[in-house]
Formats: sequence, C-alpha cells, structure tokens
Amino acid sequence: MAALLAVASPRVSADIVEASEFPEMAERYNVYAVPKVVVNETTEFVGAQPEPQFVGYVAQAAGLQEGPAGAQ
Amino acid sequence: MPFLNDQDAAFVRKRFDQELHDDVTLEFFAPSAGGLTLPGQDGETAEYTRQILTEVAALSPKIHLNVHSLISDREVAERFGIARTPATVIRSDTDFGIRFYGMPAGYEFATLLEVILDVSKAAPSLADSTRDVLGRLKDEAHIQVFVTPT
Repeated sequence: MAALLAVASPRVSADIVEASEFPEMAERYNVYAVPKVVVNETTEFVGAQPEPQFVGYVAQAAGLQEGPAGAQ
Repeated sequence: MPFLNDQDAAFVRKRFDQELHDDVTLEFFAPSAGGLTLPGQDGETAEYTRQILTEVAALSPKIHLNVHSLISDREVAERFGIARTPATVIRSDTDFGIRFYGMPAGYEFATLLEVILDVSKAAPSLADSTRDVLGRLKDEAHIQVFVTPT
C-alpha cells in the first residue's frame, strides 16, 4: 500500500525497513510487532490496514484535517 | 547456490513478461562494492541482497541493476538520500521515493516483486476516495513500513 501511494503521489515517499537488520531504528520507533507503519515521525499504527484507514493515517500525518470517511 | 530455484525463477520470469510495462532500475547500495566485503552482519546481508537483486534483474530485460558503494559513491548516495545499507532504490525513469532497507528475503521477497511491478505499471489501482485525498495533501508524507522476513 505504501509503495502504491508513493507511485500515485509525488508528495508521498515510502521506506520498507527490515526491522531485524536495523535494531537502532526498531528501538527508536518502538517496533515490537510488524508490520508497523510510521508516517512523518509522528503518526503510527500496527498491523495491516484497509486502504481507507491507511490513507486516513497518511492524510492526518500530512496536515489534512480528515481522511476518507471511516478513518479514525 | 542461487536463491531462487528453477521453478520459482520461471514463475517470476513469466509474471514479469506478462505484467512489466516501464523499465525498472534497482539502485543497490552496499557498504562497499566489488571485492571488498566488510566482516560482520552488515557485509553479509549486503552481499546476499546483491545476489538476490542480481537474480531478479536477470529475469527480465526490463529490469536493470546498478550496484553502488556508500563509501566510494557518496554523491550517488546523497542524490538518492541513502545513509544506511543495504538499501535498494526501486525506480523507473521516475524516482517515486521508494526505498527498501535490508535484505528482501522470505516474505519480503514477494514485497520486492510487488513494488517492482507497481513502479513499472505506474498506474496503481487505488480507490477514487484515495486519489482525492492524495490530491489534497498539503505536506509531504514520508511513510516507513517496518517488516521482518518471517
């Protein structure tokens, strides 16, 4: 999903990180379960999310007041 | 000893034949390139990653692999914003800002293939509501997805 959004928007970039190979990053972002997604260092969630929810988190992190209907 | 057995390689090759559109370039960054393998886990995973990417690139004429050293190709690393290795930029003529950090092994090998296809097609199937939200983004969104190769 992250890669799809990065392809679809020039404002979105996506890093996929093997947590076991970068333990300092895993510790910094408190990665205890995967997948864990962190957006703009501030918004985070764990587990696979349906598209509307995933996009909603990205929108929140990137300054939109609200994401798609149904996103928390 | 190849990472992909013949059957898997044939499957991936067929998928690439059928689904790749634009050419994809994998820009791989290791601590150092060619000949000098640094001891320790970072050097080993980088070498395994290089081998995996080499095998993947061999499965389609549309996939290209460039191998860089973080140490001696500093300008290239800075251009792509690479500070940690092993790292792989997955791009077409357009750099969409997609990076894979670490070895794409296990389940994450499938992730690598899907990202290559996403970049190649450049026409992601997303809901209209998603496209609407993306169009309204005010700031940039840097997404980091933490995974493990289980």
